[in-house]
Amino acid sequence: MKRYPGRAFLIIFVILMLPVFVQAAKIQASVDRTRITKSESLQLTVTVVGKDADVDISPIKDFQVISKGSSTSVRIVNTQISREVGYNYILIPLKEGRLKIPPLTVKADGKTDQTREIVIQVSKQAQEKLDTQDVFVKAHISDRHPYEGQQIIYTFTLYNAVQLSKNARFQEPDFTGFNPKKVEDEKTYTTILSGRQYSVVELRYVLVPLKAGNATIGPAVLRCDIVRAQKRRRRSLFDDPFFGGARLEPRIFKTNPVAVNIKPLPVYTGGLQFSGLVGRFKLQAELEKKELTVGDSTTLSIAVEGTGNIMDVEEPNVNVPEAFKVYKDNPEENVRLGPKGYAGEKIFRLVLVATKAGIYALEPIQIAYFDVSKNRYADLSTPPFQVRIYPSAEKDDIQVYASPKDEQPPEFKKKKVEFTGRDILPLKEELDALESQRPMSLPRFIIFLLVPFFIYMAVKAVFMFIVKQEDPRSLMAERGDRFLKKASHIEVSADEFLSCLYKAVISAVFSKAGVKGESLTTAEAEEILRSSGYADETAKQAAQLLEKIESTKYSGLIISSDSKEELLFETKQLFRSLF
Amino acid sequence: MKTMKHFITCMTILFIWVTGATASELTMAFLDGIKYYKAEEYAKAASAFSDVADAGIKNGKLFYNLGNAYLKNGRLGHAVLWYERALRLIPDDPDLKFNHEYVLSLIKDEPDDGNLPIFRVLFFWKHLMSATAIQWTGIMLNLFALLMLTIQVVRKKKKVKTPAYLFLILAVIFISTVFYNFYETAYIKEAVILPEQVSVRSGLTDNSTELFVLHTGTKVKIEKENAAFFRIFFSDGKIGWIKKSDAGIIY
Repeated sequence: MKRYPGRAFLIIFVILMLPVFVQAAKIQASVDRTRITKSESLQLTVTVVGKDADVDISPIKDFQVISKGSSTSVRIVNTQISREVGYNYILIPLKEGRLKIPPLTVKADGKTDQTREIVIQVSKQAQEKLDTQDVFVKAHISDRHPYEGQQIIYTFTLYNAVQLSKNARFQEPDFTGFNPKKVEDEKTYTTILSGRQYSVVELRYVLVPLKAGNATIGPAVLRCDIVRAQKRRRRSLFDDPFFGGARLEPRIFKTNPVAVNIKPLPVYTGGLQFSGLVGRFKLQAELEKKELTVGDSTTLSIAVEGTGNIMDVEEPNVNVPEAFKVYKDNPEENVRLGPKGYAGEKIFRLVLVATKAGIYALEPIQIAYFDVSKNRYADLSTPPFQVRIYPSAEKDDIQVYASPKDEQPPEFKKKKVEFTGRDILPLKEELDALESQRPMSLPRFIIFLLVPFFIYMAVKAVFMFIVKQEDPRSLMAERGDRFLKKASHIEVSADEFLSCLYKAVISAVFSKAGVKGESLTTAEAEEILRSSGYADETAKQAAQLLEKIESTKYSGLIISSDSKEELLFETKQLFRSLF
Repeated sequence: MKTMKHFITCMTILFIWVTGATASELTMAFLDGIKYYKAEEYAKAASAFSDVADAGIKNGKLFYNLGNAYLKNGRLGHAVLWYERALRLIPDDPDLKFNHEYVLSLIKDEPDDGNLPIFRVLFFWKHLMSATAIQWTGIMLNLFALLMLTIQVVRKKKKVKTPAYLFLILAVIFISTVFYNFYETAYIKEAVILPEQVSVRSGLTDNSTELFVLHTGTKVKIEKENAAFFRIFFSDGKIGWIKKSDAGIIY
């Protein structure tokens, strides 16, 4: 291997490329549409996977064929490289009708293969080509000539071959003249129309015509957006619509109006009473027990079953012999709304209580209805029943109280309790009847009220006194009085006199402020008195007096008795103003 | 001194003996009343119960029994009278209410309800509680209120203030009722017509004009009285004089 490295590389390359060459050529023919008019053309593409090929188009006789060349693309899937060559042709129809593109012979890689046949419908005029469209809607009604009261099915169908956005909005048609009820279950399935696969969604409505005559069901409208790939050349993987390379094309689809001719029900000429039922129905009856003893009960069940307005059926008329008392149960209704309309059963139950012995016959139960499948009235009947009632061993004539005719549950009307007898209640025999129950005398009562009141007042007075004693106002006022009295004594020295006078004035001012204190400036004293509501004159008088006392005290001069008298007088005057 | 001691001892024994004997007699009379009542000797039962009441016993149950005895004896007026007296003492007794309503249904005269319904609504407790119960309720509420106010003064707790005032309001209501009861007892007298039929006259003689007739068991208000007559008020415009013996006072 070392001697021939080029040969080894060649072998590896051949192995890697092998899938390309060993891949069998895949051949496929497709058209862009299958329905066209004579004036239109279509595109035929023959795709060959692998090498170039020769396509023989000579078998195509119904179309004029114009070659549009070929296109090549390379795909890499799971490390495998494949080459795809498309041979494009424009086909112009030569006539109307069901034309065929016959199998075409393709020679590729020395092998010969054939495409499948394709059928093209060529019409004369340009028309709405429903099943060649990507999306289209249809409306269908199960019977265009129903009878009044006959249920019919209206079906809205959406055919969709492309991706639709999720915001589709459906506007149901105008059902004037009908009683509509939507069948909740949507039907979804896929179908192939002319070689194209469509997703189909069906919405169904059960319609009951209300009156005879012509009625029109309006168009149903569907608004939606079709997701379209951007029409540009793909440059990369991310140009795929999946990665956002798409646009929304808003579209409105509308069904055609549907005309309905509602026929009146024919006149009923039968011997029974018409039940009002329109559809297809069956009637069954069952008797629980046919042999009874007086006092025993048996249940008669009558079931009306079928398709149509089953919920409207009334209880059939039942002729019950007088030997029975009848109790009616609430009817059991089991009606479903399905794709074919209302269907189900309604069961009526009668409880028959035997009251007299004997053999009795229950007549057949009959109802008349209109059979839509036969377009005529039909009578339904149950077989008769024979019941044997044996006498009771305990009591022959049993009293049975029937429930009211309106089948309402028995109502227990509340009754006012009335006296049935009149008498008085008995004596009181307890010996406490010998104890006097004299109410308290008025004075005693007042004493009982006043004692706690006085206690309260006493406590309050005591506390007020205590509080007053602790109050800085009263404490300082008392202190002021005390120092003023002390200053008034003759024997005190001059220093002591001035000190007492100073303390008396200070205490008086502090008492007005409601705080305790030892010293004040003249300005503070003046401010306190002003803020306490005293006149400016009084405040100034106090301030001047305080200043006078201080200056005399700190001047060191000997104070004369006249000055002492004057200061004392002024202080007393101030006290009179303050207190 | 010894003589004095002996005297006191003898007097005490005598007092105990006398009071004991009285209590025993009253009990016997009460039990006799029950016995006679059960034996359907209603006149004797009423007499026995009356003996107890005449001894000064003022008890709602006793009065109720008297009402029963008189009612069974066919003396409707007396029955109403004793039931009304019992109602003053035990207004909340269900048996009494039942029997009272029953006896009222037998009275011929349509009652004139002097108490307006609004008064009954506003002072409903007056008809649910006895006078004694209302008094004690008032006293207790007053006590609680003042106690709380005292606590508020001592402890300076403002939280106590609201319930204290609440108690005070209730106390005022009940105390007012008590005072009204005292006023009613002292100044508003009511009586029940006792004979089968009584002529209410315009004057104080038997020859006076008969104004209207009242029947046994009818309740009237006494406006005035003299030695032998009551001036009664039955309803608007129906005022007149009846003999004292024809009416029993509700006390």
